[in-house]
Amino acid sequence: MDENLNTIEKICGTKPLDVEFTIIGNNPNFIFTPQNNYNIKTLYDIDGNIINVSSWLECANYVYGGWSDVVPGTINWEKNIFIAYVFIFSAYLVKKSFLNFFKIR
Amino acid sequence: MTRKLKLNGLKVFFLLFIIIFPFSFGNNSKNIESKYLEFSTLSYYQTQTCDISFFDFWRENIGNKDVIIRADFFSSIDCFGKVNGVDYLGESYNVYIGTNLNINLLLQSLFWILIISFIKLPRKEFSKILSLKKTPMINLIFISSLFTSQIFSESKFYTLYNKNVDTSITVNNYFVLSIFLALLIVLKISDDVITPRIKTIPNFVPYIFLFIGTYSSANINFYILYFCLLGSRNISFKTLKHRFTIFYIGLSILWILNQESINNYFDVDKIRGFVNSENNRLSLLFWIIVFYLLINGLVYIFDMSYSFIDFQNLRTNFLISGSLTVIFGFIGAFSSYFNFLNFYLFGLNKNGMTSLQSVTGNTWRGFSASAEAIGEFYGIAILISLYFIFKLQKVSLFQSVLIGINFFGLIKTNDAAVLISLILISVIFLISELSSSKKGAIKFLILFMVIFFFVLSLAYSILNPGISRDYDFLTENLLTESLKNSSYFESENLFMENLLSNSNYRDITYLEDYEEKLSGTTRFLLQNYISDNNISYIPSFSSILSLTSSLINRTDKWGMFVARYDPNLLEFMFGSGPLQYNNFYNSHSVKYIDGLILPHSSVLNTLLFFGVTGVLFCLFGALKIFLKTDSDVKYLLIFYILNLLKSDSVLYVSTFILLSFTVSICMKSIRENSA
Repeated sequence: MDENLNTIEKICGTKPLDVEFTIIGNNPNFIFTPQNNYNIKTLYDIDGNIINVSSWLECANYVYGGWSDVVPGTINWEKNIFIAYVFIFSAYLVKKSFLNFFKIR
Repeated sequence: MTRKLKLNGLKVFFLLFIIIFPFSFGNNSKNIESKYLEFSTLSYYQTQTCDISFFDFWRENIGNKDVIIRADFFSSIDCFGKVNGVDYLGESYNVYIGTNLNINLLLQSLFWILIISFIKLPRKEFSKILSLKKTPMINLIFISSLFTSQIFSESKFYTLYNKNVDTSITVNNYFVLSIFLALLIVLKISDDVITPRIKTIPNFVPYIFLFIGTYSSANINFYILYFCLLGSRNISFKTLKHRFTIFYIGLSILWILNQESINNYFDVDKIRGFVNSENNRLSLLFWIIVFYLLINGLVYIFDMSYSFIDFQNLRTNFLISGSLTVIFGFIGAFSSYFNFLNFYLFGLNKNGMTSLQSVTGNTWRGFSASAEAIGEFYGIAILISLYFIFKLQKVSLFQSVLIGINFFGLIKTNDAAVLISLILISVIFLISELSSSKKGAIKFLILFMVIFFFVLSLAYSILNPGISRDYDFLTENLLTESLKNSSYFESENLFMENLLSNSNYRDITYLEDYEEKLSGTTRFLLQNYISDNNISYIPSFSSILSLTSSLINRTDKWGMFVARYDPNLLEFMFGSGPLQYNNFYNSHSVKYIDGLILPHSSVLNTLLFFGVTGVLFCLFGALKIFLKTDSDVKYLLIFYILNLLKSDSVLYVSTFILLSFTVSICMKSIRENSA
């Protein structure tokens, strides 16, 4: 449970003091009440379905049910951009030697 | 010549590439088409997020007056430049275009660096005296690391403005690694392009009011980044043992020790890029270092380039830059698409105005984040132009048109203080120029001042019938306003309202929660106002302050400041540190006020940042300059200082750099005269 709470807090933010974490499960009659000053979060399931959650409790329940804030199967764009920048920076640093090399030839 | 043309052609091509390419790529794999946005297609856009490019959307929605384009700061990298969401607002649609910090840093910087690259490189025979050597890599790495550390020190800001922010310290944290690398690339290219031109760059200072340089999704400004790099070059044993550095280090220790890490977030709003957004020791240390490096960089460059300043060229650049801000402000007001491009490409702190209608106080800020700041800039452009018309006895048609556009911009900002100070400074200058003797000039000046203030008072009485003749009202106004903003008025308080309407201030001091509810400043003004030691027929300090604030229309803003400002002795003496608003905004509870309300006086800002010591330092510094400098630039400085007394413009990077530039010219002329 503690491990679950860690994951939940990482995605949903720190548990508010006045909120009790209860597992709602698939109760169709339960309605999540939007929480003031909670920034709406977008969560994704394994099939790529999207849900916007508007309270910590709602977020926690979805995360507990396997939803996440990472789009499944997507590319790690931060890593790609980092590689691109490494390439750009290296190319920029050697550009003079590169140009000189061709000039001499 | 042909080579130069080719090179410029290539630069123009790159500029267009930067503008068009990143905003033209939709999701080709899904083959989704853009549609005309109306109520029937709203759900289409709400489900097809991150698929349609900005330019595709624009093409289909030319002439769609219901569309308002906004930047979506919180976009992932793959959604950059695409429609990322649409909100229906009853009459219009907010369309959000994705921007992402990792891309913004490189893309926006490249745009600005390319623009700067159009400035001519010094000819080879002058390059030795006009150019600087390239900056060592160690400095580039240091400055990149410093600005990357802001992600950690102001994590609340970055989490709010960016998706996928990762503040863990691991080798797999590609978010932080790519930010560091982007900064390193930007600094390296800036160093290669700007540094060789650096001594002629001050002639182009006015363009910082056009290219503002604030990165989207970041609390950093391009000019600060570059000037900090120059500042790091200027660090030597000599600068470190300079008395100002030693004093600054001493102050820094005090600020850090006096800081209470309550970690609250300050909404930076229109001063983004030049203010601390969080209240913790790391962010305080970050801004202490950045401020020192910035000043060091500015002093270094303005001192070095003094002999290369061409004032006529500077005048033309002021006029062109001012005119372009008016023109782009209009374009942005007419077209929401250009409004977004203005915001992104010019690095605005805040979206430009979307209509030509004036807002609060009948002001129109157009392109700029602040009507006051841009009004002062137009005022300076006009003042310099008038100076040259007087000195050279000629003005070209082109210049006349530019002066007209700047004047139009000034009228639109409705900045009466600029107009009044423009007249005042022009007359003072003319008197000192036309009088044959110093004695005669002083006589004329006194006569003019008497007439000037008489006319001003008359105008105030006519414009404010009733209250202007009510002495009690004018002398209590500031105190009343600060009390109305105190936590006594968190909800309706008939008892307190009754005390205020009867001017029964003494009874307020008998209230049990008086010390808890009122700030130290309000209590000081109150005690001063009711003090038995006040001499009859001589207004108290509190009355004079209130009268002044009423006359310059600053009572409500200063009243809010007084209600909030509750410093301890150290803060009052030395401030909270450069660009620190958190203590001020969060240390004392006041009535709820929506939005960011700044103190509306650069003196009050200085008091917050550097305490009474800072205010006195600036006061004596300014006095020394006025008394010792022979340079006519002092008129510009007087004009600026008069306006800064009642505006927050110094909080904007552009104004801060221009003010530093003006001060450094005056200081340099003093040093040259005494040498």
